[in-house]
Amino acid sequence: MSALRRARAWTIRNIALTRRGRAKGLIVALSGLLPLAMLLGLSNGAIALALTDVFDGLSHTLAGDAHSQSAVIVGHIRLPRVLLAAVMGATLGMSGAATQGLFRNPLADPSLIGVTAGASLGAALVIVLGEAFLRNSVGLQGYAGLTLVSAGAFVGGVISVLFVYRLASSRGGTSVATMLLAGIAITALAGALGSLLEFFADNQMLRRISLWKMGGLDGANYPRLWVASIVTCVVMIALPRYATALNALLLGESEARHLGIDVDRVKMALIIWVAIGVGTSVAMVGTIAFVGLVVPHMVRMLIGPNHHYLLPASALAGAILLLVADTVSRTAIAPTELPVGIITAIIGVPFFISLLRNRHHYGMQG
Amino acid sequence: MTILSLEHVATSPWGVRLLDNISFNLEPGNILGVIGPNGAGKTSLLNLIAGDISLERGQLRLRDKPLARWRRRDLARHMAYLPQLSLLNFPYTVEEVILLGRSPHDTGTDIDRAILEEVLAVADVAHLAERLYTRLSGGEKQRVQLARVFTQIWQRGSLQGKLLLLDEPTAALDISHQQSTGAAIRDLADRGCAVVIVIHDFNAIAKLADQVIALNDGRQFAYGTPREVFTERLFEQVFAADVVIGEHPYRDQPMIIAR
Repeated sequence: MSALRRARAWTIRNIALTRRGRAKGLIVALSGLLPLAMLLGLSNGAIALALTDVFDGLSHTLAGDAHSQSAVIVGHIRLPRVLLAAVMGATLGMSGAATQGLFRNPLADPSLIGVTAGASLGAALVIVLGEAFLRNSVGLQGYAGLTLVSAGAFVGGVISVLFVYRLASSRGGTSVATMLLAGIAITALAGALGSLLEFFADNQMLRRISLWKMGGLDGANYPRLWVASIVTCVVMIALPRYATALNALLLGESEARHLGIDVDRVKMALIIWVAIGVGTSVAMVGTIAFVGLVVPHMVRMLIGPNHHYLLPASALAGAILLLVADTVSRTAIAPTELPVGIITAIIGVPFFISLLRNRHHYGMQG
Repeated sequence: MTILSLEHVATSPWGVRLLDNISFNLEPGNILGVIGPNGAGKTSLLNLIAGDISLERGQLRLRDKPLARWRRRDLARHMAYLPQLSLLNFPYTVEEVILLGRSPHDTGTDIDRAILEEVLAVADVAHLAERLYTRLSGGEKQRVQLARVFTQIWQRGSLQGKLLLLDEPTAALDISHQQSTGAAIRDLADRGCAVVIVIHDFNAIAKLADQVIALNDGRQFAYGTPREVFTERLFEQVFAADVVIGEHPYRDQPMIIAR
């Protein structure tokens, strides 16, 4: 046996032998990286802060007297933003892992079930129609307007997922293959309606719509952070309860049923939780590409498809990726900020292409 | 206690009658062979027993309780089903695939590991335990899936009350593994497990099965011991095949070869 083949056999053996150990190790390592990524986000930006200033600002913020410059920057601007990036990245990562398990397709993405397109349409609707109307009649402006756009996005995302789910359900159950196709159809429909709205929008609305679509964390504040954190907590508790069911589902739906899983109930629950999680993230930070697709894929390469480890590890890795991407978006051409969706796509796409080209190296087929 | 009893069962899940007027009883420790030409309803029969397609007429009882009244998890603890095709294309290790068979049980890691060790040896996949499932050959995958369903109903001592549904478990196996798999299935039956098995190899059925049911176009053409069912009339009318029915030189069983 050549040295190369021996090395390869050893690697394959090692992948399997230590898989459980690796999974636990990865979760520990990511848990350690997460606070580091947060510190990175807190110290970098238009004004670079030394770590001592960051800790100083944090302690002042916690004590409630944020008066120094560093305390204002850390407490009022960067802390809500960094925490929002972490919770939304975690939600996207874990939702992506659950979606890929549900569809038994490592290339699936939460946006496939229509949530992103529906949310974009909902946001555009509010920006173009609702806001003008509401501003004239009720007098809502600025902050309230932003919240309305978020609410519109959330409602749009959830409605389109429910629609996709209904389309794919029949008396015999819900077909995930039909869901994919229905998701494509609803995405196309929502896209067309969105274009129609843009056609009638004025220049200022157009700019708001397109900025919103690119995704960004610049709207971060504490009320948003609270909403996002509560949703993230609920999703983080809910999804891992389906880890065993997701593991069995990878065998096939009828195999999962024969293993005692109530497949239709599990499917519905997973879709609802993913819609709530991703709908919230689109509402809070706009569409952020590739976190839900690339992160679970990458984690699965390292530790395998066991969802008991894959779900939490994807949440941690998603949080770290979005934190880093947001830090890059703030510092790359400071003081101007780039939309974070552009950064995640620029990081994500080449990575994704290399995954596609090398998928046989880690035993993925199809 | 009868494990499985079907009385005048009929089903037409998509408006097409797939099975009509099927009746048989299966006792603990017995192996029922299901034969028939392609499209005769063999897999439909397994799907019906597994609860994948619903009953239209007749009675289907598992341990004297109508199938529809079984709770899903209880059912999974008593019945395991090996389908013909596996769609798994995620890079689980072989060990992880086999341990999925324990998911309906709450027996704890120690017992699950002990069962895994036994089943790895029985299905001759111990040397593959740490390999990635997606990298195995077709026959190896089939042995791993077989080990998974064994794991689902495995326990120390008697297997009374368990039911195994196997759809062509040896189709992709080499002759030595066909034989060892047959022996493993016989062992399970000797410990009290009831088995319903679809195989196209008549001589394997003659060796393995206690009863045989021959299906033709969704109907029950014949039911009895292999010797009773394997007749020239069966092969002419159901299979349109020209065969010689002889005697096995060493064992008391019929032997089928092409003329």
